Amino acid sequence: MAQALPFSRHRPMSKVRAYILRMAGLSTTTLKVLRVCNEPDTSANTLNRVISLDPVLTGRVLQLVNSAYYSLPSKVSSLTRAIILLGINTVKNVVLSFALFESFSKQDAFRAFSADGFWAHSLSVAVAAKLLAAEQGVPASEREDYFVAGLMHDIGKIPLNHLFPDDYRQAAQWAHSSGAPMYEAEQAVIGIGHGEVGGVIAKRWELGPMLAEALSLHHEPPSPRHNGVRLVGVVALADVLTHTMGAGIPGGGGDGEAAGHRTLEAWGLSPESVAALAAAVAREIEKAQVFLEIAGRE
Amino acid sequence: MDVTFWGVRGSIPTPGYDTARYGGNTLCIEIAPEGCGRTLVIDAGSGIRSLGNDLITRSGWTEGAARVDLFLSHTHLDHILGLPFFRPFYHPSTRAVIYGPVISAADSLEQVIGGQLSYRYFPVRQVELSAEIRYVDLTEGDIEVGDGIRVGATYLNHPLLCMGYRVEQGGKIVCTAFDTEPFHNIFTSDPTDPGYDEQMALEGERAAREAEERLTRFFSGADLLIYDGQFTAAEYRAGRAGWGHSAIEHAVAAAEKSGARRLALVHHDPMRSDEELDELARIHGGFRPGDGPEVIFAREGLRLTL
Repeated sequence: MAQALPFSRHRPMSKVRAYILRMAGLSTTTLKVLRVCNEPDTSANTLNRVISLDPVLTGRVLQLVNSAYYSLPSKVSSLTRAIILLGINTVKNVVLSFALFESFSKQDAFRAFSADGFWAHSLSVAVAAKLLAAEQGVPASEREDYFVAGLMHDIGKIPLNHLFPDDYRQAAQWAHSSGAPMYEAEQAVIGIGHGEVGGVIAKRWELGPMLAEALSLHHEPPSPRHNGVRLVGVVALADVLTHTMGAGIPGGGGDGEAAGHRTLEAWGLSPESVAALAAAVAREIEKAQVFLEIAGRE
Repeated sequence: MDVTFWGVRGSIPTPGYDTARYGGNTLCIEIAPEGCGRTLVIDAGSGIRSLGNDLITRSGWTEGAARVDLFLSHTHLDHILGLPFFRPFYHPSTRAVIYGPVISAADSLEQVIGGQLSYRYFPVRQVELSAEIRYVDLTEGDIEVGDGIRVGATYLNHPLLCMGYRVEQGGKIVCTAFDTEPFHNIFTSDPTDPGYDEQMALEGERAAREAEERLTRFFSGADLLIYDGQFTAAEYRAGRAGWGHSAIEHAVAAAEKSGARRLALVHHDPMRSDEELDELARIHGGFRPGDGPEVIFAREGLRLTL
């Protein structure tokens, strides 16, 4: 039997907006980011790789390129393109300025769920979204958009978790015990869902309508067959898949098992292809962990 | 429209016997649109000192409100070091607007420029300047300056965010492109490289090509294109890619692609003597074949009427 809804406190969105202005990178990736960006001869490939492990830093680089380049026909949603347009030095400086803008310990910054868990889930969805995009026939040069959208899809959870840690923990516990999806628990307890916050971030950072949709609507995507909304649909599917694989956020609640199965059915995915994707995602996460681990040992 | 070159040297002032004819002052270009008495300046290298000295002798400068619109390509030292010696700043009749790109709102142009007008670098502080000076942090786009003058700004390819400008008035167009090098794919395209990533290689290639195409459109129809020509192609290939400066051959190709009528090369390498520039001008200068542009190696004091 579902437990009673906790009392909603309707926390002010103004606090969230203020937090977005000073949002910093994840502590999980900080050491590696600092090492790579402080090296004078960092290659574009290494720079891209290290930034693309962090949803906040990725967003910050896209924010700079999109707010500066007004004459581009569409918003930039690929880090590769941002690095070509801004140059390695500018990107390194931007990343350094946000990597340690505020210094948090892992416990401080991630109160209801850990930075490491959040990072692993974000990266899992990113990898899964990119692989699914490939399966859907998206050309290789456009698949990074899917990776970025997957990486950033839950970014709205960071301000909520940091600003309202007790509420967030309560929401997570309620989601866990009742089986309700986390976005419903956030709405019930805090009065603000992470999708809504993601939408605010996307607008504030000028990430463009497609990414904004992925950040704000990944729990209520339009039908897979709907034209022109493949990004949000693929991210939603990737999110469901990673939860199915057990790569959800530790302590952060599920995102609705029944809804997840409905999404998988709607896409017509077989258990075999889910298993193959799970294996591929696990390999990518392991590679990323090794990449970060090297920074710690050097 | 008159265009006057007050400084054409790159990187650092290079006074001396070997550089006397082309000039050793760093970049400063004056653009005087036809018939409106306005003064537009691109960059404040050491050449701006001579421009300032000249401006205050011109009729009407000290009697009424004189206006200067100064467009900074970027804030590397060689492009701003002349500012404290620009005498119109010390006249209360001067109204100046300084435009330039910034990386973040937290680091405004006023703070960056004002930094060198501070006690530790210079005896006169920014607040002590008599002129009325307004700063405008630029991002890409069109800038409203009045009197039928249209100024467009676009990003170039340099280690610091750097603007190219397009000034149009009375049917004449002058464009600037310094400091810059051609956009190119900086992601490895070698599959045997351990860092190789097919997606980055493809997207990098496409993004660089599109950025070059945008620049070509930005410069299209220019009567005069003023372009970074610090290196030769051989020098550029010998380890200077990524420094944010072009080879003469790059500049010529850019002028040809955009259909510019005249190309003026600037940002001459500080190691380049007058004799060496003469030799390069003999090889690359003059009219290009067909309908190609006329190529000029700009020297200090050169004035072109468009």
